[in-house]
Amino acid sequence: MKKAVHVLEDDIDIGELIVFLLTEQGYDVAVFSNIASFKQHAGQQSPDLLIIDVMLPDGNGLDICEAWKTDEATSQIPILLMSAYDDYRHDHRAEKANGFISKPFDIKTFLGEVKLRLG
Amino acid sequence: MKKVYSEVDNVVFRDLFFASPIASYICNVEGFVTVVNDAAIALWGREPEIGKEKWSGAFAISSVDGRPMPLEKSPMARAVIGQEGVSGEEIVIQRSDGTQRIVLVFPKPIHTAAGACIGVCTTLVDITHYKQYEERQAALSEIVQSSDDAIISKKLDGTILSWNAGAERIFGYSEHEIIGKSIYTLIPTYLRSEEETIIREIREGRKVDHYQTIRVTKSGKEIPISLTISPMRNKQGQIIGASKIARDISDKIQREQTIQFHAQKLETLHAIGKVISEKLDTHSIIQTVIDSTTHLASADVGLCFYRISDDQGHTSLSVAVAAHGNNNEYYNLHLDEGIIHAIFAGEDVVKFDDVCEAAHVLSLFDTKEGAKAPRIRHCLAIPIRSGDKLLIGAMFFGYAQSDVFKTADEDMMRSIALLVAVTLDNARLLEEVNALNLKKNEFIALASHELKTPLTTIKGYLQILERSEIDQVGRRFLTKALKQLERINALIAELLDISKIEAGKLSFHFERFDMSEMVLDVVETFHFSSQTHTIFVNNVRGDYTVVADRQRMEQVIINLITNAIKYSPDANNVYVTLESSVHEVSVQVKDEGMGMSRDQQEKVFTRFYQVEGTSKMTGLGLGLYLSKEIIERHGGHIGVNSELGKGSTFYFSIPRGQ
Repeated sequence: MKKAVHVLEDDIDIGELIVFLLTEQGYDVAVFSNIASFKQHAGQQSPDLLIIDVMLPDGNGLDICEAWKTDEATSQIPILLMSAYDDYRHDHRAEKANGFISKPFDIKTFLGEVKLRLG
Repeated sequence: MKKVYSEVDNVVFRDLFFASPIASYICNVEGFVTVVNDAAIALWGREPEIGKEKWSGAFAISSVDGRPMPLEKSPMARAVIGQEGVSGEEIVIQRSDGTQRIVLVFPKPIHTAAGACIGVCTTLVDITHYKQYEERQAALSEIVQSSDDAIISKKLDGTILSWNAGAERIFGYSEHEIIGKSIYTLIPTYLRSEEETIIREIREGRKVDHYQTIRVTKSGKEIPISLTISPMRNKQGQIIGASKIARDISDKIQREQTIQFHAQKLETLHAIGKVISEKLDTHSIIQTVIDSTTHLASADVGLCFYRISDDQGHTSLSVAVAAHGNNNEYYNLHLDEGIIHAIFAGEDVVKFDDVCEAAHVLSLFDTKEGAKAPRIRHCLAIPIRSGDKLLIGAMFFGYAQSDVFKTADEDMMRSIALLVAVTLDNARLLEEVNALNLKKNEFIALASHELKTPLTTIKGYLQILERSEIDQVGRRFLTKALKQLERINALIAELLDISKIEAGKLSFHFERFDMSEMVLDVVETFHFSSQTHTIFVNNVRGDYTVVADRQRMEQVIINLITNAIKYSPDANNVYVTLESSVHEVSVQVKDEGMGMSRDQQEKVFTRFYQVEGTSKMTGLGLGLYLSKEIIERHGGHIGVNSELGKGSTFYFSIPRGQ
């Protein structure tokens, strides 16, 4: 069974790039461009990995990360944070994330991080 | 009835004449000197030729007004010729040694028993000393009378004996009013014991010198005076009273107070200027200003209302209060701008002689219930206007007593109001600059984020292309494109860092790591990317554990190695050397490039510095500036040793940390 990766990313091109890279690696990928649509879908299927961009049009990805990591039902799901603004790495809401990827990223590093979290 | 003298009597008379200490001589009826005694010779200073000189044995004679006196007009001649009684006339005799004597002349005509005049017997009484004493007394009396100082004499019981014109001028009493009265008339009741002390000193025969005290004039005014009192003695040397010289020192005291006041003014202005130039916090500046100005104005309470803007650009009215004994909390301090505008409808300083008649002014000094604050009766109000004449605040000084109120220096207050206006203007400008700077930094943060988003996709596309089958030319340009992309990324990062430094927001995240491992990791990435240079690392064995911001340290080392490669285009080697001590870890990066002059070395760590003559060298000139900031924020030191044409060695050291 394919591992499911959910991506919360508002930039369509970055979203497309990630879908391309992860599909190529045999993952099942779903991209959400805002928090609202992500939450709508959230109850339906739990992903094996969640990749969240921090600056989103309708909120902050760090809050989603914190909420998932605090909720027992989702706390075990690995989360990778991603931002062009490197200082978010040190935000307290990012503490429980499983990794932080600075944009622009190196695709080898990016895939390495994903593989590491999915085992 | 005529007395008949015996022969013995005549001998006695003759001896008496010759031995007498009173100068006497006899002239015959023609005037020729016939007999002189020793005293006369002594008085003239010469011995006249008997029977040859006429009327006098003196060298010459003159009247007391100085005119020469012909001998025929002398009292002696007149006594014989005119038979006048001229006894006791004053004449001046010139002595042979040039000196003068003032004498009283007593010529007595000599008559025979039949009554015929046969000559004159003259007696001369020397009154020179007496005349001189008289003159001196007159001169002293003139000095006393014309003195500006009060010169008074009194008995030991305090009864005033003499009183000069100066005393009349200073104390207001005329001589006839005060003579015979007690000296206590001039002494304020609360200083009575002082006079007793002075009299005790005088009785002991001691003088009291320049004693500063207060005396009361006829009109009841108290004046400051300086007293010099000396004991007065009679001929037997007993102390019978005191002479007293009193100088009115009101002017001197006034001058001293004026000088002190001006000195205080200067000191306050200086202090205010200092505060304004040293402090940036407007509230504390205004508080200091109102504190010192209230003190200077001798006011019981000072208020300073002022308009100030916050970093959001909103303005609000504030107030600082300075009250006696720091009882600032006694005041209610209503912030009502309407009142201030109403008071200064005109332009300038406003004085309220009675605040009870100006309820709106009185309300400014409203105190809390039970507060032991003085009741304000008078108020001095000074507007604070900005450079463009807008009313931006006001100072109010409240007084409980009116006499102090009147002496308040309005000009001084105006100057201080100007200083306050400058402070407020500066504060407003600073806030504006800060707000703009904040916007600029926010913009740079946003811009860098927006720029990095397309870079992310471009980098992804290029790396995907790199994996695919492409020809050599394609691969070559692809590699170049990726390098250019890294450069843009680095430039954006530098800009963001600079804006963070400016905003004071460059934060560090300390962790424990091994500096040598990190250096080796960084050098390895250069081995992949640099085709031109080989980087040698020395001395990696040892303890290089530090507590520092790993990413920032990496940034510094990458910057130093990148520079070493960039500025040694004709060389092949770069040497990195590590060193450690108990407290420090240091890294040196040595190149064999063009090197730098002393002048360049001094400037190389400044912002936007580009080495001259290296136009092909690109970048913003921020790398070393950032490195310096990072190292110094770690409590370390960064520097360079270089020689033109022989390469440069950049080095830094940081403390190991916790």
